[in-house]
Amino acid sequence: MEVRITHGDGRPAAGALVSVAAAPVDLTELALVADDQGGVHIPAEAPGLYRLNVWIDGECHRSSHEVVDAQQPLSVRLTR
Amino acid sequence: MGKSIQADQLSPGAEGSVAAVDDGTETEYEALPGLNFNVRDPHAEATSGGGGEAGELTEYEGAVSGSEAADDEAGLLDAMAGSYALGEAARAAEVIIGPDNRVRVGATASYPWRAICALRITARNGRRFIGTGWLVSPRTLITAGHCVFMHNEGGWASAIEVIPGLNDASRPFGSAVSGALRSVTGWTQSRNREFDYGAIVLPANARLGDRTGWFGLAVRNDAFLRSANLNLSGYPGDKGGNQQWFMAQRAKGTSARVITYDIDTMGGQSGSPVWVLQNGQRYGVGVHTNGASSGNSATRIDTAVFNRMVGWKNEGL
Repeated sequence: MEVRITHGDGRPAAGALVSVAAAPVDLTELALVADDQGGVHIPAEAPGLYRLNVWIDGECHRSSHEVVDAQQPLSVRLTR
Repeated sequence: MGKSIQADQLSPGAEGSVAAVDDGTETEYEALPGLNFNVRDPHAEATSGGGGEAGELTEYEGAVSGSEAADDEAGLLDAMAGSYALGEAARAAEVIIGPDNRVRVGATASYPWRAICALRITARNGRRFIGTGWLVSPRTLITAGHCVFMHNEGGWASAIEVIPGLNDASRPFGSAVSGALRSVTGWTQSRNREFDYGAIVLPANARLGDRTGWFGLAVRNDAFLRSANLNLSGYPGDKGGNQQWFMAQRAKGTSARVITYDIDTMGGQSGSPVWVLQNGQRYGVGVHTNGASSGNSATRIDTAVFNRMVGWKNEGL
């Protein structure tokens, strides 16, 4: 599943560190570093609940997503 | 559980000592607040080369030299267990199980924490990841197979930076970069979770373990593992990947090749050591790899894994 992370103002969250706290499948425990476009690839294609931790600028943002179609990119916007 | 602070340093003279038997299950907590299984020998070594495609870099190797395998019931120890101190001492896959009981390691320049390394992994396709590894000799780290060989990212990682004892911006022992990676065909070819382990061999001029010390390796039977206190420490991504976090707990279950536990972990801790502290020595008994609601888990160090790891360890002496 492709995930695109942006700041609140829409800028790509390049370099954000993403860890998956929950997924519908058993995942390996690497942390993923977002590319210049704020993109990461989570190696899971199953629908279900995904909970993400996104670390950037000294803060950890937590989000939950009920994914119906993991083939579709997931957008995560970081807010304070 | 109580995790009191305790300075439990080992004397340099303790290096190389071997725990006599496996029957004494007196272990201590560290003191701190699928697919193709049709492979002839899944433990056959796979190595990265100097470059090129993963497929052509995979090769088989013959018998492994090193310590002789012992019966699992009797326990198997790495005779060169180098625990020492220099000059001192599926459903929703929850990886935090219940309350988050992880404790930050502050003194990462002290043993054994300094033998645990943050990994900055650059995949073959350029994507970047964070994982954890642990030194078992001056130049060899053990880690997860998926930290060195990533099926979805082009195969062998192109480079991995190793940072012992990383603590925010502090790198008390510097760092080193390596592309000399090891795993086994059970992982690289079959992608079998039970064979998810690997190693990083540092360059000849990067003997980081000479300054940090390292972990020993041990094979332990089911009874031992189920009653032992298992320690796990690594670099979780939800803490920024620059801080080492620790937790300890008893195992939830064991199978022939996997140990499961409710020790809290998070992405970034792949490759972390799962170790026991016994008779003052630290022995890795597993390699943390996965998070799941049914229990987080490690690849268990059985006799075949042990033998392979000892071979890798000897490369880094």
